[in-house]
Amino acid sequence: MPTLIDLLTRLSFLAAMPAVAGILITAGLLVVSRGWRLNVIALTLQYFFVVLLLTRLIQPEVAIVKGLIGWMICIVFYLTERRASALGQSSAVEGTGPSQRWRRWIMSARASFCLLAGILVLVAAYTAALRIPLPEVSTDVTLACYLLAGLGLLLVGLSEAPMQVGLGLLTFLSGFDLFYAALEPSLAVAGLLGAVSFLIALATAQLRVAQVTAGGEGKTL
Amino acid sequence: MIAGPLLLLIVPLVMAGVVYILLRWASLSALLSVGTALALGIAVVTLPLDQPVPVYFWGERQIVMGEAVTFLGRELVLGQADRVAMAFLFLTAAGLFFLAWRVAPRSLIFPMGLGLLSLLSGALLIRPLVYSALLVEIAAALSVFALQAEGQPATRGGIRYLTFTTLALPGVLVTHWLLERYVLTPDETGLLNMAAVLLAISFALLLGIVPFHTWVPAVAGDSVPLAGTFVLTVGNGAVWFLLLDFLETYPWLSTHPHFGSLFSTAGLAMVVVGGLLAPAQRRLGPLMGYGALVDSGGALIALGMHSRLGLTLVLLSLVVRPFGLALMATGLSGLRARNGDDDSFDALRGLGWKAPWSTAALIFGGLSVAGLPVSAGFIWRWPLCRALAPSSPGLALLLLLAGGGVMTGVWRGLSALLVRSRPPEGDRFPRVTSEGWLTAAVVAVVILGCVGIGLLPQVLAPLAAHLAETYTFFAP
Amino acid sequence: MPSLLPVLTIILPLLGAGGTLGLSLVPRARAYTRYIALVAAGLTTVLLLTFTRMEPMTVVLSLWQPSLLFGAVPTLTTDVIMQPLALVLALTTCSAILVELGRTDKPHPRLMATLLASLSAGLVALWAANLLTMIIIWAVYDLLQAAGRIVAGGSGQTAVRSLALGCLATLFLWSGALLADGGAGSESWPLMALSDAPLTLWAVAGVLRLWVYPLHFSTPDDLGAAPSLAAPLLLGPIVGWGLWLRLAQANGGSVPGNTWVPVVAAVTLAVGGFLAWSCESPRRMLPWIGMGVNGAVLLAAGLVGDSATAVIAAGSVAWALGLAVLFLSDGFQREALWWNIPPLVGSLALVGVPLTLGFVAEAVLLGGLTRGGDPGWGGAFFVGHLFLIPSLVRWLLSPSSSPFPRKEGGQGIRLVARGLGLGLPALLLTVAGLSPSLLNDGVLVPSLGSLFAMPGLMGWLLWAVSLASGGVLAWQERNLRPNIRLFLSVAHDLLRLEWLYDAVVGALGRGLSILREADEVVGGAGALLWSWLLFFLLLLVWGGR
Repeated sequence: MPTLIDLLTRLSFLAAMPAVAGILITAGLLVVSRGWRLNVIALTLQYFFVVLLLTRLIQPEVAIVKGLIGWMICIVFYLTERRASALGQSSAVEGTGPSQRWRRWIMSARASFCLLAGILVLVAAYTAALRIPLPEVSTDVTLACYLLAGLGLLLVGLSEAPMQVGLGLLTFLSGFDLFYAALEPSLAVAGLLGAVSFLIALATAQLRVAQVTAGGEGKTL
Repeated sequence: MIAGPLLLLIVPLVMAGVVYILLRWASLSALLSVGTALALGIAVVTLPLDQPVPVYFWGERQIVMGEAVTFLGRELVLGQADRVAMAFLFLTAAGLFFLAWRVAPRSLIFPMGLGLLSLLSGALLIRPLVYSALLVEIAAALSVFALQAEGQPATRGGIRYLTFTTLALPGVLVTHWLLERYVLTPDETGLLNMAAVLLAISFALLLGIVPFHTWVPAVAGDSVPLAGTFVLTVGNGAVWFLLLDFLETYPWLSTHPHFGSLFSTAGLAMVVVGGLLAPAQRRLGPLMGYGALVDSGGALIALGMHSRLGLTLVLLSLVVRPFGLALMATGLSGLRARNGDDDSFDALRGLGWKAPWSTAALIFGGLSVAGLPVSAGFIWRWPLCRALAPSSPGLALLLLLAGGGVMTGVWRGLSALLVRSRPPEGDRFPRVTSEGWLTAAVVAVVILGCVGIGLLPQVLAPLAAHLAETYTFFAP
Repeated sequence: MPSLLPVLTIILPLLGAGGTLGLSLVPRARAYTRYIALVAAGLTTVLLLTFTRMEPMTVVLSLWQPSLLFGAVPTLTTDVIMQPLALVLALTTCSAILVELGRTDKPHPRLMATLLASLSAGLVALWAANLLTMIIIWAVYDLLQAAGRIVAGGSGQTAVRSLALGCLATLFLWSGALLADGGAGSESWPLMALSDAPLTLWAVAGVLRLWVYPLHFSTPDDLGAAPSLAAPLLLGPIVGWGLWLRLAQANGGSVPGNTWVPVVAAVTLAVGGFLAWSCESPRRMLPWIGMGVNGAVLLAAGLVGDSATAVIAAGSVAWALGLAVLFLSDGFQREALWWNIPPLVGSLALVGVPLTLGFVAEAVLLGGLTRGGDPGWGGAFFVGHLFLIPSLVRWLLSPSSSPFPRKEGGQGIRLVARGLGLGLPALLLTVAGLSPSLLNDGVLVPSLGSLFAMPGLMGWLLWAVSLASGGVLAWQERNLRPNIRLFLSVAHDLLRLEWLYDAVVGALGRGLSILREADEVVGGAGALLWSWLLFFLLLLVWGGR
């Protein structure tokens, strides 16, 4: 049975612009979407693409550990949101039927605004990647870093809902982690950064549970 | 042989677990928390650094406070300057736990506070300094659990604090790399400039410098008050000591030509924003936050004086700040508890008669945060204004005005609290309050402590002066 | 050992306060709290009497170190010029407790404890040797005064307002200390060399403390229903007078701000008199009467030049004792007419009748008015006295709020206590009036003869006309008041400026609400984006410079 490292080796052809494109799509989905299932899937895929890019900078084993931490975070989010749904007090988008939800998602002004803002961030990130290249990393990784940081910041800035903010912080940290792994390959730092990400996820989950339990809805745009 | 740093890291963590298990017994968990913090705080200053001290109740073991320890491949060492910083963290925490025993029993502040103490101790002891930022970030994530009140909607304070602390992380980590690179290529002075800029932005985020200040009133206003105070005193204090450690480790930072003007300008901005927004508040929680902002701004101005005197004032401000904020938080907790967690002025009308001790705590806490007599806050605001007056009288007067602004907010709140719903009866003062004699006693002790320090600053001021001498970056 | 006397004088009332409060917790012992309070106040008064003949003493209260940080230490100095005010404060408190003892009402231990603590704070404020001490103790004094007002049944909002204005006065004092060259915070008052800016700021602080119009919002006009024990609460401006004495001392004998201080003082005299007369309830007149008399004394000090110290020393004592004895007398006693003598003496002292201590300031004022030649001040004097006199008459003739203690069932002790409480201040007003230098030993108070000569013919004429007009108004009071009641009420409310205060506070509130709305936008949802936006804007601005 192939190991995880073997799988990554086979997919190493994606560890360039395709991974960057994947990061752009997943991070963009996080910015635009308010559906928790879609968000969890997007985050999972995002970590996958980040791991792919990390394999170019650090040892694959360490990259996989980072990925595992990320996927554990996704599991935490999944479980939290499932519980929230079970309590029947999910977010406003979740409160409607599937077909209405889909129609609203297409037509909502908020989603349009987020999409537009995301495009602006994309342009800014692209320009920054060309004008201010990051040291020790290639151009495509630079672009990925800027995309993750920018879209993560956008996600944090556009909402006060715990889950959205948590997703934004994790996206931002992923972008930074991608860059910093090239500068500082220390395992201690990698471990601590992973711990930070995990604790952010736990804190976010705790706040989400508090939000659901108290019956309040998070403020979103 | 037990190394001192290990003691400071492990004991609070272990006790955090024990306290969490025993949380349902409020007095026991509070006692354990206070005892742990107090014992460690006293031990860190009284036990000698270089001589082993036998631990009689633990077999043949000995404690050597100054012995270095390796953690994750990095060194943890307790130096002379670190001792007072540690003592400040632990003793402040002990005081906050003592207050929490009455106003926030069975809250997560006890176990989380102990955990935070362990992390923040590690942050101040670990070398190189870059790892401190990671530990501070982990502490910020943990503090969210303490800031979130049980049964209440998700607190904005916790998530905001976590956000800003997370955003500060990259700057510090990249700075470390830039400085390592500078060692290899000393002719690239641009690396130093970049490092200075990144460090400035990171500490601006961590200290809540305008315009990154929005987490401060959020933490104060939208969280468990004493937990918010823990963040604003212990957590913020650790960040300050971290900043001083950076200045000590990298002397070129303090000799930067823009050092004085940058800190003074940042401090001025905080003082102005806090002084203007504090009287505008209609809730006590954010008022406390803006008061803390003014206080921090004053400390930045003191640091911007670029002198040993300024450094002494910074340290003195850190030591006395917990008095004011803790009292305000205690008052806030007591009033909120009797008002369905609502601290708006309209909702608090007339509540002062039923909760006189909470009201008194609010008044004296407000005086201290505003830096007015007769309170602990006055003992550092007076010398700061006095030191600024010859060179920057305008700045000194602005500081006074900002303190007046904070106090105006407190007076507005007090005015609402003392509305009489009906004519007074009997001896014109209600005999029975809903606060209990034990809470009253605890509050009275802390108020007396605050006033006592305000009248007898010679208890703390020489300590601050002595601690300032351990830092050499402003040596004359 | 003698240097411990000031400390003992301060500690005694505090011990009394603690004992009173402690004893009040025992239901059976509550009745004895008056005696504890009386002993503490009485001993303090006796101790103060022993100081008056001793050399000034300096006591360091707390050794603030390191001195490089603080520049000064809280220090007391028992200056001779402060002794009369200190004695008056203690005597007033003692008299209030004595009169309280002479009543059959149940005791007010919390109020007694607050007043004793306030006495300690007042003494420290008067003896403050430097600005640091004064700044600290003013804050304590304000808190205690506010607590006293609340315990006495006053409005909470008024108490908070007085706290806020007291805090403002303290800030002015502090600002002046910062602007004074050479670190005025640390130097003793007589040694200070000062410029105009700090003196002006301190004068403003003094004006705030004296409840001078139009900054009179601390005036406790809500103590109408308070027991007579609350008399010391009317004497809040006494620390302001202490400051004015210090300022005159530091300014070479004259008060600072001699261009604007007489103007506000004159307005205070006139408006204070009218507010007292137009007051609906006689029991709420006294604070306005006090305000008017404060204006008169301040005007006299402003006009006299280098002898302001003597004027303030005598005038403030007369104001304090006169006001206290009026409040303690509690209206007209029909059952025993001789009990109306002390309030009558107090009234005469407030108006400045010869052979009372109030005559010192009055004579100097009249002399200053006639020498200065400004008709405006003369007009203010006339208007002030025109309304002060009928107000005082109205008070003297107003019915008492509590029954007179009868000479039966062992009530003799009550009568003696009441007699002492009322008689001592009145006696002091009279004796000091006959020999002004008796009270103000270290201050060059003019002799009685020179005081008589000071006003000159025009001055005496002005005084006589004012008194006569006031007398006529008092005589016609009963006919006039019912016809103009509505007008008086409107005029009172208009001049009291509560509407202006509310308008200013409301306007400030609205202005601040704009800031609050902006803060809620910047600090609300999207706070992070706002923060970064503002940061980049600041970078652009700083980079563009």
